[in-house]
Amino acid sequence: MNENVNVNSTYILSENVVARKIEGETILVPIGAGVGNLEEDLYTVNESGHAILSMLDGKRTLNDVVASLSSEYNVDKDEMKADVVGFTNELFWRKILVESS
Amino acid sequence: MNHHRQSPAINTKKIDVLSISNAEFIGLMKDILARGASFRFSAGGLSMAPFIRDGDVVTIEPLKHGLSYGGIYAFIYPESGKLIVHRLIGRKNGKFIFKGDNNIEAENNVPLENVLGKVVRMERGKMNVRFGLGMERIVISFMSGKNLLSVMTNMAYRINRFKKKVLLCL
Repeated sequence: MNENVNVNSTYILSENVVARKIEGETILVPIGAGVGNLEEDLYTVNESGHAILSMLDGKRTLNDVVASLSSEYNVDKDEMKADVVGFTNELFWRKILVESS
Repeated sequence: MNHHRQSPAINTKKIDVLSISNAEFIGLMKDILARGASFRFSAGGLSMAPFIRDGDVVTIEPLKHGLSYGGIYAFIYPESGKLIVHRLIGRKNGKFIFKGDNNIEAENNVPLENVLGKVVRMERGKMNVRFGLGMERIVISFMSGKNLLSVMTNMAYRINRFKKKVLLCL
């Protein structure tokens, strides 16, 4: 997987993905070819992933998200940055997140 | 420093391993249909047999026009709040009447706002099933409304079972 995300950029959930929080997990259903297909594998995101995902609103940069979450969870900034960048990168690579302009 | 924080993770799962309630499933379907996309899922139950069998995969499309007689629709039944996929067999006082082809009882008084979408495709294994969605749906709907369909299905099942027994004896 290539590193594609930029900490100074803003990201948002793709309009081709429906997200819904169900019993502590966030379910992500990609809409491919105009179909939300529950017969295909669905993505699930844990609580920590949900915390990051919910802050990616297309307005806050990844740096903003790192600062906010490291303060909220009392976690070292470098450690949080590695988590946020790694996670965002994976979602970006899977086309779940898109860079917002 | 919080050392108990879980690392963020994304996984892939099949829908059947997720414990999704009826209400959550309806919410997911509504969210997807609201995007103008179709919703494809595995239908359970025998109420629409033989046209939709247990485990058949159906595709629901958002409503584009009005409802058509004999069409199969996904709706929330006001009495139970449950998601049902049944055939439209009539209309009374501005509300719709649906019925499972294989059921005796119909679902009455379903308002338009409870109808989520229309079945446009049915798949059984790798096969597309078309029978029951074309013009024949009007006859099926009429017969279902008169409870003739469940009687015929039952008879066909008995004849089939009898045939198998005879073949086994030969």
